[in-house]
Amino acid sequence: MTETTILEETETEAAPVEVEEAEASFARAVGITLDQLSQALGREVYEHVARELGSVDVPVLSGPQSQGDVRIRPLPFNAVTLDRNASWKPLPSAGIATVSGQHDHVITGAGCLWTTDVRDRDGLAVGVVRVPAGSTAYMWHAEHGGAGMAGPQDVTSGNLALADAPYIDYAIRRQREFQGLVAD
Amino acid sequence: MAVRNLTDEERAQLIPFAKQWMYKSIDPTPPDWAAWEAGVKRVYELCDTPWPGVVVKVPHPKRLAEVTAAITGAEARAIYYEQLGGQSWHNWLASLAFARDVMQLPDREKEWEILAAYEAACSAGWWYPHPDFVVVTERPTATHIERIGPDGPGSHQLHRADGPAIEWDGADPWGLYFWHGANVPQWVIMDPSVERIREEPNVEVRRAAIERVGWEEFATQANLSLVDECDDPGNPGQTVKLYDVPRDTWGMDVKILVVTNGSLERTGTRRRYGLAVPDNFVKALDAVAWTAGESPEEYSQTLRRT
Repeated sequence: MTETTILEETETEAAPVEVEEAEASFARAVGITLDQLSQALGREVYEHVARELGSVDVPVLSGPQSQGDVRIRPLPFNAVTLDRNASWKPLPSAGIATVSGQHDHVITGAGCLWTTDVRDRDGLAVGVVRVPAGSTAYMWHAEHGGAGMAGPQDVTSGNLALADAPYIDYAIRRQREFQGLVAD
Repeated sequence: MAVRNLTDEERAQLIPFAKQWMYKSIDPTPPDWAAWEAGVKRVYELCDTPWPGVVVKVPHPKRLAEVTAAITGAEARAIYYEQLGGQSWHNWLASLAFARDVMQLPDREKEWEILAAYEAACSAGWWYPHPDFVVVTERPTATHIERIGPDGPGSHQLHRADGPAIEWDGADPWGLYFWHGANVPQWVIMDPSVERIREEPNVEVRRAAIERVGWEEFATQANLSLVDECDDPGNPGQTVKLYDVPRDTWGMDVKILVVTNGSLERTGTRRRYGLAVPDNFVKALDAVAWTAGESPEEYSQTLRRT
């Protein structure tokens, strides 16, 4: 299985854009910049990160991604099993800070759900994000910027079966190191 | 004695309250010395010990140990472990203050009076009460911590990469060095070298020093043998290198994977760092996929890394 869409944000023209007033809802499938995401969360990325990526749309992908020491892995994935009675709660608009290393990885997304009721073969999963059709979830980090998790409407490559699903689940997993987990 | 559970409101105050005391315990502004002395006098009184009237103020805990040792004839090292931490030892005080300020336990006037006296006595740096004198230090002039978890127990640890994490500056400066929570000798932070790392008997210090030098640099300088190298499919344009690390270097059989950060540093460069992986890996790709908890095929599907 090969995913073909590789978004390189560094190759995107960083055209200056008018930053709109912070929107109450930023669950638009496309077109949210890192600045807008930071603004919505009330957080700030490093100045050099804002300079490089602030006005660029956060790439929204349905395949595996890494943000620092955190891995975003769409389900189904053999190492990760959701509990049958997993309890889901809505992601708050201020986001939830998860996998707090030196800096938080903050997950948000209007209409999206979050659970920690998950089993992981390697003990790496901290939770699962559920992105229903029409929504998009984002993971934000002060140093690493933003990573968008696509809802079914945005699946254009890779596992196309996900495009017809009512939602896509993404496991959030930590990187591991021999004898312990990596603090980023 | 009445015992009761915390209410939900009180429980909700635990972490914010502890956080407030954590910052208080590393507050570098000079103490109110008059309030400090009043507190210490009251502590002596509460202990039925006459106030000696002699206060020796020294810059930092090392001098405290030396001065007290010189006066008492004891060994400085013994004194060192008998000092009271003052501002730096706030955990016990914070627990009592929670009962007083948040729970507002009734009918504890006597206890609160003792607490207030001890709190004032601990508002400066380390101190050593003796029947004949009191020695006390300045507060540290800076304390460097890093966040390693959410607010609550274990949220922060001492760390500074370019100087002492706890420092007393001034005419007679002193400091303590920490690397991601590990107390290390000065050379680890200020002047690390492969030679010193080789000679260091303590494995925790050795590891800290290797990280301080940087794995890539250490691998080159220490002539670690490169086992395998490949393009990183999870980080386009970057390579991963797998090095064998001798057992006596890391304290156990291990290999080191040198990888590249997905995001640029302020300087526009990319940081390279080492991850310890099990010793049985012979392929860099297998090892880097393992760090992600995936097979090499799964790992190669990565669309983006930042």
